[in-house]
Amino acid sequence: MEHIKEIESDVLIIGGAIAGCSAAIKASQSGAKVTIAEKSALGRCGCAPWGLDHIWWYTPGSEMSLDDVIDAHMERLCKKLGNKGVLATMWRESFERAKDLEKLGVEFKFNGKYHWRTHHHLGVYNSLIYAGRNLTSALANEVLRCNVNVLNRSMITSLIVDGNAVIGAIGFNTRSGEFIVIKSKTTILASGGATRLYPSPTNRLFSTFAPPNDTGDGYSMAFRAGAQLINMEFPMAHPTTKGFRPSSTGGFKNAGAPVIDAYGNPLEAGIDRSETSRLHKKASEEGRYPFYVDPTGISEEKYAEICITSIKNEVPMYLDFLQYKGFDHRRDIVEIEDHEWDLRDGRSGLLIDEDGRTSLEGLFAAGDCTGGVFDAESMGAIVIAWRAGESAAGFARKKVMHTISVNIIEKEKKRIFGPIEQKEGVSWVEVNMGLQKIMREYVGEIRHQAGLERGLENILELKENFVTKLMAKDFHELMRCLEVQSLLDTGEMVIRAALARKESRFSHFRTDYSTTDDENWLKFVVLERQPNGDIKIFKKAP
Amino acid sequence: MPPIINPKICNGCGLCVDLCPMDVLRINGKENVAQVIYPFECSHCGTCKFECESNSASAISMEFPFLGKPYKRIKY
Repeated sequence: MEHIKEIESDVLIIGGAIAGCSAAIKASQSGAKVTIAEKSALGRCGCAPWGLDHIWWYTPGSEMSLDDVIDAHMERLCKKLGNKGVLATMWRESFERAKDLEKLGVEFKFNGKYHWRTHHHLGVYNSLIYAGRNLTSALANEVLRCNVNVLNRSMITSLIVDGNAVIGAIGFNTRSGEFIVIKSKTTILASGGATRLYPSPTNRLFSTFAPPNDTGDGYSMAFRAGAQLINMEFPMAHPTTKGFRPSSTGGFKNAGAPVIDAYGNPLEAGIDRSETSRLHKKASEEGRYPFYVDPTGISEEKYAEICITSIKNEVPMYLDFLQYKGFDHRRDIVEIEDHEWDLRDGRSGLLIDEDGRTSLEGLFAAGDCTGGVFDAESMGAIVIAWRAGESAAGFARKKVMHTISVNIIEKEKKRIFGPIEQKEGVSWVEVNMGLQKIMREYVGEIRHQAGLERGLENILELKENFVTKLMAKDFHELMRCLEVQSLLDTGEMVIRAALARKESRFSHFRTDYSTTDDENWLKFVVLERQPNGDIKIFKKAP
Repeated sequence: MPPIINPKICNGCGLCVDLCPMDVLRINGKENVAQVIYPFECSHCGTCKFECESNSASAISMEFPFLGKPYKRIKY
């Protein structure tokens, strides 16, 4: 713990999955000296450790024009509340980036050809492909080839700010406890979204749809540094196979498998993903539980194709699960449940422009820690990270390295290692579960002013009285303690944004403002922490 | 349920330990085999199992005891 590792870098990237690696490759190609800090390890981290079965990819000359695709995404997925600049950039550059990825060895083809599909959330157009095997590992291999300084098992806990500029970051090694201080001319946040915020229906903290070590660390450190965050009131979920994470019912639904209730009646026809949780709850109250997805009508040929192009490609563990449980989608209907609510997919987080620039000087962001585009997903992460990598490298050329004051370093060191010094206290599990209970009960499917206020009081109470009591017996537990602190900050942001939005939209449903009010609220709710600790909340047109 | 490691097959190469996203594995120095030390934090992503297989060993298997029967047979 006493040993300090000091690093200097033109570009520091926090997070080493799809966005982080993409940014690192481009920044390095642009001539910058790059350091990448990843809480787990490059290669199998992030949301797609085993590849992806779908990716937005617009091919020039497609049936639909590019503008129509962008408009459809804006209308159907963002419901007009979207960052149009970022969204259009993602679609416009998707083809080039996909081709770049292929050159790096990402396997988009199966048996020598592409498999085009219509996406069940987006509807009509065939602008994506069902293959992206080994996306994460191919990107990681390229990062290693690019001479990037890779810090695995390194959790960054705080950004260092000088005035309105980010000048570096502080963290620690989650195995050795080595204290890490990084001076950087520019910083790119690519640290993912937040899960473990709401209780998982599996009743286990680490059995979640998105990786359970996505704990809003980026949201928290950016918020504390004073960056602007948007859309934090919209955590959501969608249906997955009961008792198994992650699942793969999407491939079957794409192929036309209906979702049915206990009596075989169709359940989800035309229902928006952002509203499924609430509608499932309602159907349960009507005595229609349990729900199933019924793939038994799918042809043999189609079934084989889904297994090969979709399941094997994204969640190979599901095939083990099928085998272990002894079931077969050609004969069996599979029970589903909504996974825990989470923040990801480029919907909630830092407000960025097309180059990933945030509201703070020298801070860029890409991937799930950014907000503004519903279902930006992997291609959103790749395109924006690519541009952020290039812009950050350019920005770094014009900047000089700042010195980080000893006071700041000592203060953060004390905060990070607090739980290790603690001889008695509470475990991170207790605080995490306490937070999940607050989130479910006060800021879940049904929200209103009094409940949200009470939820905020409870979170502030946890922050005030239990964070100082957190106890860790080793550095691995210390990482969990700091993750819980990030989650508490994220939970607070969700409640504050939900209190501010006085209407209902997407997953945010308030009994006291139960209708959608486009006139006043077709706007982002922006959260911005001021240097004195006050939180400024305001509306911003998309 | 966390991965089950067969100590007779595991050669202690450490690939799973290096790559586990939740960092729940370590090499047991005495026996030179991989061991799950934070079983509660396994997310069942399969990294350890598939990496082990890609390295031509098959020392790791997964079991899924939770929720006995997630399906209903309607065609026979």
